[in-house]
Amino acid sequence: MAATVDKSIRAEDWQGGVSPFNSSYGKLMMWYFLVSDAFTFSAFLIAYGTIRFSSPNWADPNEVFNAMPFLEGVNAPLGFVSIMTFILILSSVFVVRAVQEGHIMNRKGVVFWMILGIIGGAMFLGCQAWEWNHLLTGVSHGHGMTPFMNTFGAPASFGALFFVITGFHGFHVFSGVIFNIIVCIQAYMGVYERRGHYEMVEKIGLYWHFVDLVWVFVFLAFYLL
Amino acid sequence: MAHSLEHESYKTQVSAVWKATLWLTIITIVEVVAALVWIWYLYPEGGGPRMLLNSFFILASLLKAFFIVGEFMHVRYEKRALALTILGPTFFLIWFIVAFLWEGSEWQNNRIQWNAQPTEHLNRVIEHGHGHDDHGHDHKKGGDHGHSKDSHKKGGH
Repeated sequence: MAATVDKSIRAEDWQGGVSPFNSSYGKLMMWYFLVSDAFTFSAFLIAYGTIRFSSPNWADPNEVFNAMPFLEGVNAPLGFVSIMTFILILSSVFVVRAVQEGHIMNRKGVVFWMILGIIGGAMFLGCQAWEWNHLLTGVSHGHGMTPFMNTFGAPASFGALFFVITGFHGFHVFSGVIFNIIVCIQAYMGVYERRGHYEMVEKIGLYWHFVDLVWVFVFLAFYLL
Repeated sequence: MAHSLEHESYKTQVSAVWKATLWLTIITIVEVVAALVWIWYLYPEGGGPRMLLNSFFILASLLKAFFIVGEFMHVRYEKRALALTILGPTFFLIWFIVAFLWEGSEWQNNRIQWNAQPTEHLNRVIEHGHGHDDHGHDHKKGGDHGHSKDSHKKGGH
């Protein structure tokens, strides 16, 4: 490995035999996928912003998202979604811990933290299922919000944008949970120990943190602004 | 690439991650508290300088993104060239956001004006015909000055 003291990249580094980014092929490709995925999500959220800016009236998020499970009729704006946000952040942290245990080749540690991360992801999905069900059936608002209509004084596109964007994000969470389960099982079976490194945990970890990152902006666009 | 870090660097990295977790939690709590104080205590009737609150939310979210990308996704510890390769393209989003939100609010202006005086607009369309003039622009006069004066006289566009 050519040691670059000043951390800059020189043209000679690209002539083969060295790793200019100090990163494996798989990790780099995961990064490039995530960059493209970031643009997809950005386009969705900017479409949301454009339509919102073009509408003289819009739904008040504090009115739309004010329900809590087990607390029927209680007005708790931002309550439930804060819990969801916290669950997803924690789940992300657990997977970082799994990656770190992988660096020191601690198989048990990887499996332990991956299981916690999977539970967090599943809990987030459960919360989202509750929220969707609550909004679709509309138990506390009289009648429900669907992708084609809503009752919050905003254009119907409010419902469409909400379900498409949170649904697209939720599908990312869902597939992330599946990937996490596969990686966890493989780690448990010693696949990575035999391979000599836990890089697969890192790659899936990147994807998982990205899902958390996107949620920060979904939370911003739909619930805060 | 077999990673085997020394114990010391393992320990500092673990504590860095928990520190980032603490920051993310604090920022999220502050965001929610700010939103609730705003709607329950400061402006229960609505209104207020929403722009101020929204700017705070956006900055806080960017700070959260910084912690997630930097610490959890490890970009802070990657080579600078890799970090730039990943983060560089996202700066295109600034123009993407500005252009589209600008367009959106322009669209809203048109809607509001249409709702205020739809017949005014219709008359203009009928007067000049649909074929070559569906935006109510006056092509017959020719030249920018004639156009703007003309549309101003007729109640604005």
